[in-house]
Amino acid sequence: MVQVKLEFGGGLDAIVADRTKRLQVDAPVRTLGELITWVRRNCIREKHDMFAVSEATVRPGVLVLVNEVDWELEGTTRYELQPGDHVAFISTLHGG
Amino acid sequence: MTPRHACFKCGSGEAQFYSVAGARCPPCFDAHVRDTFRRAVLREGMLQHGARVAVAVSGGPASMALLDLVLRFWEREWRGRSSESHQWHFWTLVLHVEVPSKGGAQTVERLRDLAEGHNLPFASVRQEPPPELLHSMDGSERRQWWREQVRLQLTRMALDHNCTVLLVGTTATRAAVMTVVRMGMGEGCQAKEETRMVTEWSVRLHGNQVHAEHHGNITVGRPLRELLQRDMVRYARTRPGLELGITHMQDMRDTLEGLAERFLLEMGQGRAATIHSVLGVMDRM
Repeated sequence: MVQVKLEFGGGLDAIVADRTKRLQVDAPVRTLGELITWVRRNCIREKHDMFAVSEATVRPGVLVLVNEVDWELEGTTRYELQPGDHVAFISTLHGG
Repeated sequence: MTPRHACFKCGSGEAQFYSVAGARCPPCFDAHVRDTFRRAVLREGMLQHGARVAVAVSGGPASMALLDLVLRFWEREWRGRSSESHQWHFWTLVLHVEVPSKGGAQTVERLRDLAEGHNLPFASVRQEPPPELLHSMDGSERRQWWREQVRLQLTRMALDHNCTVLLVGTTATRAAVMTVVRMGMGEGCQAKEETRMVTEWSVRLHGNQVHAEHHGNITVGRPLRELLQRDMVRYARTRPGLELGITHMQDMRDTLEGLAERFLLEMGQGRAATIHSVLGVMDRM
């Protein structure tokens, strides 16, 4: 179990339960990939494929930041979460 | 202290912003965005002394970033100069077309407040859809119709305010998506004469890298044309107040645009060069 802070931006909050932009959760996961699967199942209330088309990875066009760092620099789904990490999911799927 | 991920530009900063070219630290990323914008503006002559500039702002990250970059450009390039010979000035108007499905009145108020906070004039118009027309269209055709209407409205407002330049926030990503959409809808390579002195300016299939088009009384500029949509989202996140207008995510799953976007993103994996290659190939077809 790891406690992390989640943020949903770029309009993703519209598909999150209670339309919330920020959550603090205790998730039974170890890696970022596992967290994405968990978020898809437990936090997204509708249009799940707007967040993640399949398990363990986000939809193309959704940015993932770990403590304000692009997840590509942290090993993407393999990143091992630390207590207190701030994970932001930001959609780029909107107009200019 | 040695950074975990060293910035490939300065070598010493802690990189936070990923790109295929190399990861950048915050100051180098900011410089990259500003410099790319500045090069496009100066190369194409989009901003000149005495210009009356309209900036089209939808509330999305690219257009919000565009306005921010225009203001920073003015601050740095002209206001910052002390010599009287460099006391240049250009007048800036913020333009918005209110689309009911995209945040509507709330977005208008946020943008009006933003413009007023920067002492900029603001003009907006509400575009109402004719129900009988839209019910006969599928998702792709509706999006295309909206895009055309917004384009016409922006052009008319800019001309009504005697603007000489209209800046829009088309990124490389969006340009590539629209290119694929237009090809898919069979719109080919025709330039259309839509309004007085202005021809089709979204994405033409003639030539590459269409940054600016000069049409009679007005120049339509796309100074973000070499930047990715993700760069604009990341840039907006670093600048205070820019994320205020982003309240919606477009559901384009049942549209050609959504398919095109997913195709390019999955194929390009965020590589600007790949997206530019797609544009280049299609331009030659």
